Amino acid sequence: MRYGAGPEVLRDISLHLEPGSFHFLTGASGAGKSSLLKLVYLAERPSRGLISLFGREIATTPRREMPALRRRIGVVFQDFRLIEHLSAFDNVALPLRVAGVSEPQIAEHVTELLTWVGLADHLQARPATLSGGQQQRVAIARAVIGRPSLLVADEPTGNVDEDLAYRLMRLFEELNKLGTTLVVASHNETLVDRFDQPRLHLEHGELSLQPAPSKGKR
Amino acid sequence: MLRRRLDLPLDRDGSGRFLPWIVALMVYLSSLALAGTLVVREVLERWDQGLRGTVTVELPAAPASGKDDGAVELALKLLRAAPGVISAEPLDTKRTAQLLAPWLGADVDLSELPVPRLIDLRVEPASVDLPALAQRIKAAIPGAELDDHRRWLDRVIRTGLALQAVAFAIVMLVGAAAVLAVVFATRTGLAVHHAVVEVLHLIGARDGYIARQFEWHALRLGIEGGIVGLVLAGLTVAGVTAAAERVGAIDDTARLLPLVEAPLYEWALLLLLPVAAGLIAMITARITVLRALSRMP
Repeated sequence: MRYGAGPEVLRDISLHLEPGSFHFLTGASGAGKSSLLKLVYLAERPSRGLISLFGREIATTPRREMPALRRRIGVVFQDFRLIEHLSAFDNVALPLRVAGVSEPQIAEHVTELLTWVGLADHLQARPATLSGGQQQRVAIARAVIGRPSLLVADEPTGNVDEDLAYRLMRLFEELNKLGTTLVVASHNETLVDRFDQPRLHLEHGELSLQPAPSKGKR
Repeated sequence: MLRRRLDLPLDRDGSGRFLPWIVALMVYLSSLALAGTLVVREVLERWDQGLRGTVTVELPAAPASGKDDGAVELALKLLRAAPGVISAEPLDTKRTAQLLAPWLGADVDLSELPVPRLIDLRVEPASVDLPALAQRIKAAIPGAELDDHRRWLDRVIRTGLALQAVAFAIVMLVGAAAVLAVVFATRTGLAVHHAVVEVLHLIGARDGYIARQFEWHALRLGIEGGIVGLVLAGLTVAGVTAAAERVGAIDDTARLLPLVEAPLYEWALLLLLPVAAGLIAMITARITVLRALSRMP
């Protein structure tokens, strides 16, 4: 993969994610983690090669069917990408609204999820009034509200303290146990070491799979 | 008016701030052009109807001796006998003097001037054969002319049609300018809110969902601007009419600038201009957004 006429940022990547798997994506800053995730959550197209998601070949999937595929993917962006003029509630409700879910159902599900992530008192708060950790939880809630089959998180713990980072990872593990496939990019080796999950390691644009440690170090 | 919950804060950026004023100006110009077209058409129709079925027969001036040469009697006899002629009445000296008063003055003695004698003819246009009638009159009375006003009226109608075409072209140009303004405003809005548009795209929003956000915004701005433009145009027409009345261009007898007498439904079309402006803005915004989104992965 390359951006425009620039150099290749990813090459010879061959990756298969089993449904229900949990992988950490590690690598130094600039190794291409975000680029790989963009390919996975369909924000970019590869300059060559194939991507197959949920049994569909992306290159040959008609454009009108892409939104339905994207709704099966939850994304936690590195910079949250919360919509500033919308409340926490409306930010989390977005994936349901674009999917045409009824407002009563949206109210029920969004309130329940924001309560679960500890933001019951901040439903109507704008992102700018929330702390980094609270914004992170809104972003995660938005990513999982549609019960995606695949959850992609790009440095989801980059802006939170160690304790909250650990709790967020535990939250991801819980989602994984419910059947969601997860790919979590992190350059925080210490944090990743605390979880017993396989790693996809990127170095100089090339990917290698490192199996899960035989025993978790929690 | 037309406010909906939008995921994009289009109301808060400057991309569409001037759009209502641009649309207002466009609708203002279009309204005046269309109003002018309606007035011109009304005038032409009135003239056409007024002159249809009327013909003027012009006989040479009476001999200087003052002796009756019998030309008028002969012409009336011929005319009244012709098929399709409803009536043929000579214009008396008093009426002829009235017609010539604007050029010769009210006090002139026509008996001293070689003034042609006129016969006012009412005909059934479907059954009269004017060329044959003209030939017969000319043969009987050398120098006689038959004028059905068509040549003059055709020229006036052609001028009127040209004016209507110019007005239509103005409306089209104004519409094209409005479309360009909406395209520019929409593209600016897309650039300003690119990050939000991308998030909506990535969480599975269909292109139509994103486009609708811009559509409703453009529709509202278009209608608001259109109403302002129409009100200003109405005030302008009222002002021009009042000014024309004051200088005597409009009165009951001689309507140089006719009062607007087009059917109500035609004037109602003008009221639809703001709606049309809104719809044009809406459709333009939709197409612009869909084209931009089609370039996203």
